[in-house]
Amino acid sequence: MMGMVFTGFIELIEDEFGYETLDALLQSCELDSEGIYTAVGSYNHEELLQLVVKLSEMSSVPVTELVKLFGKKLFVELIGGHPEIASEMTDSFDLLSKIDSYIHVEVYKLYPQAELPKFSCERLGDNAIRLHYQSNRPFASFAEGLLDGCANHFNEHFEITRTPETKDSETDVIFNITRTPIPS
Amino acid sequence: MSVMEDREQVLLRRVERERRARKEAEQILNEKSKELWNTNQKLQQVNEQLDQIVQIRTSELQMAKTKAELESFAHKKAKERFQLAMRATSAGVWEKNIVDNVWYFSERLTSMFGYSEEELLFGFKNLSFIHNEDKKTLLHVLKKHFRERKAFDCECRVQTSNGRYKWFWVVGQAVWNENGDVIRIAGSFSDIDERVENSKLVEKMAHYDHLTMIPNRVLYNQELDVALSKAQSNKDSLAVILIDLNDFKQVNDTLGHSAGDHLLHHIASQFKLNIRESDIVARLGGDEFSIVLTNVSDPQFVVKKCEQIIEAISSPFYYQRNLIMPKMSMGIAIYPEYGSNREELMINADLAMYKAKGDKGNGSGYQFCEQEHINKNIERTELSVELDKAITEKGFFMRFQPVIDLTRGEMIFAEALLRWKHSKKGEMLPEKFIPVAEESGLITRLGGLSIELLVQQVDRIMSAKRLEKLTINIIPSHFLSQSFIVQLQELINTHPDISQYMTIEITEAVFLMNIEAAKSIIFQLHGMGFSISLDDFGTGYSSFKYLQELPIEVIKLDSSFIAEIDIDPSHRTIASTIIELSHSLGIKVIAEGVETNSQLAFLQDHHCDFAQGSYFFKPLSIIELLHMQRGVSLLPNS
Repeated sequence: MMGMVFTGFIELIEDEFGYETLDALLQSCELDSEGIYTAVGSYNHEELLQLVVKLSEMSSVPVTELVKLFGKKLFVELIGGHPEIASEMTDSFDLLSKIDSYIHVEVYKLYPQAELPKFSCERLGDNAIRLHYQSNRPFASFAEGLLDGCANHFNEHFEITRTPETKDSETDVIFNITRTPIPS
Repeated sequence: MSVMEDREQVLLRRVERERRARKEAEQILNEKSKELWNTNQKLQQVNEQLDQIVQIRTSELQMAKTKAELESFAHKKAKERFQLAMRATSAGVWEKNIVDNVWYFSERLTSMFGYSEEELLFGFKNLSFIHNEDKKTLLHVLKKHFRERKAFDCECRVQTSNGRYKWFWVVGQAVWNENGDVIRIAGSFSDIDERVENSKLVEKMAHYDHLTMIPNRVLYNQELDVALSKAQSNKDSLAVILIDLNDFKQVNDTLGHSAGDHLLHHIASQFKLNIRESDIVARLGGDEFSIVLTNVSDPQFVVKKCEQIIEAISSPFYYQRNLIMPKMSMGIAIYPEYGSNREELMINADLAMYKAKGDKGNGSGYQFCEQEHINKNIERTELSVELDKAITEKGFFMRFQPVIDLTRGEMIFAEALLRWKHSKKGEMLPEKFIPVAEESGLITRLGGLSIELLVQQVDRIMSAKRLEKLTINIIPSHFLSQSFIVQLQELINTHPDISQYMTIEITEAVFLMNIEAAKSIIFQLHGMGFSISLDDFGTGYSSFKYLQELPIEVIKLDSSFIAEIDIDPSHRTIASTIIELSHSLGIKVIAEGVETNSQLAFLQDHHCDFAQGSYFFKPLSIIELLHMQRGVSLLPNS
């Protein structure tokens, strides 16, 4: 998994819980990497799960909440790091509809070994979209956090429901999104 | 451990983590940098290779460009040549690009047809300028072309802008793409009008008689064959009529060939006027015509038609104030009763015509072919085969009719009479086989053989001192043939004295057949020392003019006169006059067929020189002749 996800997560933990908590977390988890992450490296995604589960125990915040929070924060990092992409997007749904066809294509150019999830989009109306998330890794909630981050970026609010069949899945989820603009 | 110490430991761990992270990042970046350098190196190599490829490609492009320029130049030249050829060619060229729906017509084509491009376009789309009778052929040829893809061509008539149809030779070829769709089609029109018209004229000349402008024998044969096959499939009858003009030669001889030509033209016109559209009329040659009546349901119809035609022909015809009364003999063979094919019908119609000619009397006549004619013809044909064989095998012999000198009461010469020793029919008289020999073209050989047989006997008879001379009958066609005089000349070479022992006996028919040739031969014979005797005097023209002009020594008074002497006083007068006139010209007279005492008495009274007949002798064999007494004691006045 891409190093920038790990460094972002480490930064989130430090920002939200302080370095002591982070230190304790790293100390308590017996990670192969020993918690030494660089944005340019690549690490086993299991370590991320280990860290989230442990953090949830330590903070009493549910794992999904943590992951969603992390996703929302990472979106800001990602969009901030690639302003040229952001400038091409007219609105949130425009961005969502271009994940597979454009954004991930660009990612593969920079990181040929990257293993990215698949996002299939279906516009249901001006303000409704159906997004099908499919991944080998259980990070649907992380994706949901990213969606929240996206809504924020475009000054919108997303009402997200997961389809009942895929409620508990973290690898194959359909998000039904209804957006409402946030009045400025 | 105190809080401070804990915080210190945490910080230390943090510093350590960050240091290790930095190192790891540096290491990764270092590796990435190396990768990048390597990649860069490879890129450079690739770049260089690309440069090389570009260079090669550029050079190839340059070569291709040069080649394209050369091809373009060649194409331009070819186009110029094509345009020149288009201007020079006598053919009009057209093309249709089917994909773009664009037509091209050469200048020559527009000028040949005389149409504008719009009119041509319409004409090509609807084939409106193609002659109706040729459209089917053209469409058939085009269909075949689209099926077999071989260049098409056909001849058809095109209506040009002045309204006249002209013959053109159309050639063309379509082009197909890989899907099998026609993408273009091009072709040409060549003006062949003159050639076609000429060939039609040649065709007409080959099939029509120039004088009468009715079909000739070639076209007649074709048309009759077609009519016969139609009649066969429809189970119809038809009548083949062969027509021969009577005495046509006389018209030519007396009034000239122009008169004959006018007469033929008149006759052909009358025939055309008196037959139906479905019938056939043709001039087969000379004065021989044929009419074929098709769809004959009743022989009575043929009778009426023949009578109608005879009536039309019998009207007086004038040529330069000369009245000609045309007459003809018609022989009819009905299909299928008297012939299943053209050859049989023609032969049988000819037999009937032969019969009609014999029966004609003085006028025109027609005769249907009957089984009797066919049987007779078969007999004649068989006889002619046998005759041919007999001539080759020399199956003939001579009998001799003694001629009595009425003054001396002596047999002084004899007429040699040819006999055929037929294996089945016994001794056959000349009247039975001479006509067959004439018809079969055997007369010259037979005549030659008779001279040969006579010569064999001359020495024998002369050395026995039985007679002074032998007379031989020469058939007119043999007499007028070249071989006759040649044979006699050769005979003189081998038997120098033969002419003084031979009299050549001819009939007046030789003068009717070819008077000039006959006179010439008579003079030649006389020059060679032969005596000439004129047979059957009194039955034909009996012209004393010939006797006066020609070196004829003897005439023979026909037996029909002699037979009538006892009964008819006028015959007596004629006979006595002929004798007297002949004597006045220094010509001696032989009376033929003397049978009675009173006939002999009359002849003696009128100083007839010689006589022959059964009163004295029947024809004798050579043995009988050699043993016969020369003296004749039965003379009434002796």
